[in-house]
Amino acid sequence: MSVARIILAAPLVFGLTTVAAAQTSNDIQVTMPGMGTDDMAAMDNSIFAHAWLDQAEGRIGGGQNGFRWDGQAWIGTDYDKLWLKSEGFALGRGGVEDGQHELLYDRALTSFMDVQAGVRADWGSGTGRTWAALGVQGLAPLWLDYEATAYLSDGGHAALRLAVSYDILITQRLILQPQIELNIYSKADPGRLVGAGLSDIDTGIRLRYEISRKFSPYVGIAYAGKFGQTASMAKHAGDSAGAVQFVFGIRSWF
Amino acid sequence: MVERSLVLRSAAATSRRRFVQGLATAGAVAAVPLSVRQSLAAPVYATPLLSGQDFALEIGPVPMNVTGHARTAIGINGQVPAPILKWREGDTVTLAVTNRLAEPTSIHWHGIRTPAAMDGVPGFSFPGIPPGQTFTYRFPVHQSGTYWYHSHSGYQEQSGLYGAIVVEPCDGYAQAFDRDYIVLLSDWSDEAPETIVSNLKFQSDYYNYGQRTVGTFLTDARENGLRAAVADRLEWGKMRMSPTDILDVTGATYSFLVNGLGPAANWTALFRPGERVRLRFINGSSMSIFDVRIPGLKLAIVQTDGNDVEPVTVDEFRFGPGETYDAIVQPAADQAFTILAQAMDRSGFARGTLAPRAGMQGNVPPLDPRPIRGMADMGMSDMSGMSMDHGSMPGMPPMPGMDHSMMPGMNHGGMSGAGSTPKEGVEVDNVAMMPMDRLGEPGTGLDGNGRQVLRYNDLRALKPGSDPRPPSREIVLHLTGNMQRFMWGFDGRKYSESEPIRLARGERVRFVLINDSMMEHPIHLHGLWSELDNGQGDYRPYKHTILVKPGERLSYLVTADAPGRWAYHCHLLYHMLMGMFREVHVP
Amino acid sequence: MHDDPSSPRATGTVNAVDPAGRKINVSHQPIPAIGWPAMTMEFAVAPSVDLSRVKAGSRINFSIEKGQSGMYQIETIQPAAQ
Repeated sequence: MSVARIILAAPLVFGLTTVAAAQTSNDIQVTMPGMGTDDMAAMDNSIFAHAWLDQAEGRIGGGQNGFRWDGQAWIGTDYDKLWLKSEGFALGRGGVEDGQHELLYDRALTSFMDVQAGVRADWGSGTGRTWAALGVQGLAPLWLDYEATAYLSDGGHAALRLAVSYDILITQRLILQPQIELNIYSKADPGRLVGAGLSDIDTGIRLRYEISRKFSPYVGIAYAGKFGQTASMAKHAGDSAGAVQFVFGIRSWF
Repeated sequence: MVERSLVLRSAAATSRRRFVQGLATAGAVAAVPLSVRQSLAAPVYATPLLSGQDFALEIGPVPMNVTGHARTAIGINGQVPAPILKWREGDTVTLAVTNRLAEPTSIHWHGIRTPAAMDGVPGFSFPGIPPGQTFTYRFPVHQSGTYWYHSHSGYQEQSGLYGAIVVEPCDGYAQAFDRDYIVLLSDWSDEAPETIVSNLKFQSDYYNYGQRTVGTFLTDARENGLRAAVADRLEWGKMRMSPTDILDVTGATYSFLVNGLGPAANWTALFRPGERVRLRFINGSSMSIFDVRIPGLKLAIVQTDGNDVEPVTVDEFRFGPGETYDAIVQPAADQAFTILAQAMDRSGFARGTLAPRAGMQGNVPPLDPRPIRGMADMGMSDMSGMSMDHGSMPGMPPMPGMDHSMMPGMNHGGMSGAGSTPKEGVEVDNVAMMPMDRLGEPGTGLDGNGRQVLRYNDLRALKPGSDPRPPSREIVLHLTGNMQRFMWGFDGRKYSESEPIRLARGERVRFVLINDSMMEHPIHLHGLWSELDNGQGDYRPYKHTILVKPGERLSYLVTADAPGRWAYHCHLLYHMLMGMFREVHVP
Repeated sequence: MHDDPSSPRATGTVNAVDPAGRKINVSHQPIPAIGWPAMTMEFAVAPSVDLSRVKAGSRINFSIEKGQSGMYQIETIQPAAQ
């Protein structure tokens, strides 16, 4: 099991290192302009790279204090990108819950939507799980940011994750963001304390102040709730099925 | 006409220092005019001028400090802007350009019709100038007027590699003037250009601090009613477009400069009251459309893009990167005037002074209100004409919803050549359903401001065009882009995905441009003149750079009289580099 | 003296005073409320302002409003800390 984890970790680490290296070397853009003759063609197919943390926050309340992160990164051209996603919850009492990490190939499909395919690895409390992933990510009409991904595990489980968020500009720099993410599973997975059907929701409303576009402290209220079988499993294990929490953190990107 | 060739000798010149913006000086910063009939005592602090037939230009790093933060620009002979080059029509000029950068470079002579090998576009004209090497340009100059020159390599133009060119006419000027000045407008950011583009690739509205908010919604609801305000938000929201998208890069990062100086440093030119002063306005910026006026003075526009026009008197004109306008003013009063160039989105401005004596400054007008896009900019013309209603929906014929999968019947397909209407997709976020003739409009944000603003159909050449033939075919091109992805192109394709546009030697063609995007694009064709169809018939103006409005359909005639691989592109630098570029090939 | 609290306010140093023309030349600090950087420029001064106490070299706080011409004019002047 630990060997599998290392194998899965490698692309994740590699991806993050590449992104970090691209950032430190020269302002993201990897292709150097002006080399050789027809450099104009190279310029419009340049490689860019970005990484961002939508959530990097402390969560307080409901007896479940901890730290939550939710971030992504990509490197690639207009059409083809290597995409990383990672989210999870580090409990105050130790351990990681709901750690989900994805490595995907992303292809621009329409004006506002990309299609993504790759692998997802679940770590943290309970048994590790790996999945094949296929989904879409983009901007829906009325400026809704969304991700919708379907997963299939080697154990024959299917899952669906949906995430939607929306930015309300109160002023040019003060932005209120409601967001919701939910997970649905086809089969119960006791090893990961997850039941069939709608399993859990992580939703919140966050108020951020953009000191700069790339750095915004925020506060908010979040609700992490479990439903159905997942809720029963949680209660059985001595955890609560849902908690409203106060959150504070930094949203950042480069 | 007395000429004074200016060579900057003062001690400050060798390491060119910039006025720090915070140290607004009460003392004079006055330019020396290019040609002076009677000399005026004036302190020397201006872009140096080089004249003659032989030039040595050294491209290298130059310290730059516009905002109080030290940066490194790219300049020529230690100067940003690069020295003013003064040529004479009929001469052959030789320019030895030495590259002292660590990367390849190039110089393109914008608007000058040189042999193809001298046009300065790496990959088309020549391989570029490698670090440490010298390339010698040599070409005859068969035209006169105001032009400019800049790097055609990477992002160097944004970093300061631009300068003015004046070619003296061999048979005198059509309009008399007593002195003239270069007014080269540009944009400068302390951020690296690569960072700016990278930021736009991740968040296309990164530099837009004029977006709609809860506050603006409430204001709209109060002014136009809640129902109209909601309908308007839904209209734009469904398209995932913002009516506040005016400029991609704004005063949020830019300082706007006049001859390399910001508003605090205040480039100043002197005049004697009653004189006729010719101001050679050049938009040498990378990404900025400017609205230029001098409160208290009328501008007699006498030339555009190096070509003389019948004088047309206006209060104000707009121009995009690459364009030039020569204006003659006649300040009669013994007072200082402010030369104001607002960025189109009013996020900042460039400012200079025209004064009778050193140490005088004029009043500076308030910034105009920020413009808002209307349905005409979306290529959905409202039949009532002007569409700059703030917020409310203009009266429109019933549109079949936002069904962009329909083929717009209004599109004038070409008789031959490329130009089928692009379909929405990765590279196209909008297709103009009813592109229209907008040459009679001054542009978004200039309507109803109480001032006389120049329009393209005001421009009438002094003499009829040299090629009387009608065009033998039309080439229709769509200007397209995807704002969210910051991808730009022609006909829904980036340069790397396209083929050259092939013209036959000597043929006369009509280029038809349809702007499917929601932004202005200054389209520049190297090597060949663009004769703009603006209702002036045979007196259509000769331009090299044409600012196409959103949702506009315009056309121009081109005679393919010079062989070469000619670059053809939007002159918004980051649009060009992100795909809005083509080769026009004349064998 | 017309002193509207919502009028943009600025600080600067007076370079020259033209009492007859009712104008002063000021080097002022940035005025973010109206999107202006620091500049040296001329301002018209409202008729109600007493210019006799304003001298070249003095540091002033002032407020501006759009006059009939559409240009800003100075509505109030107070001495600022030197």
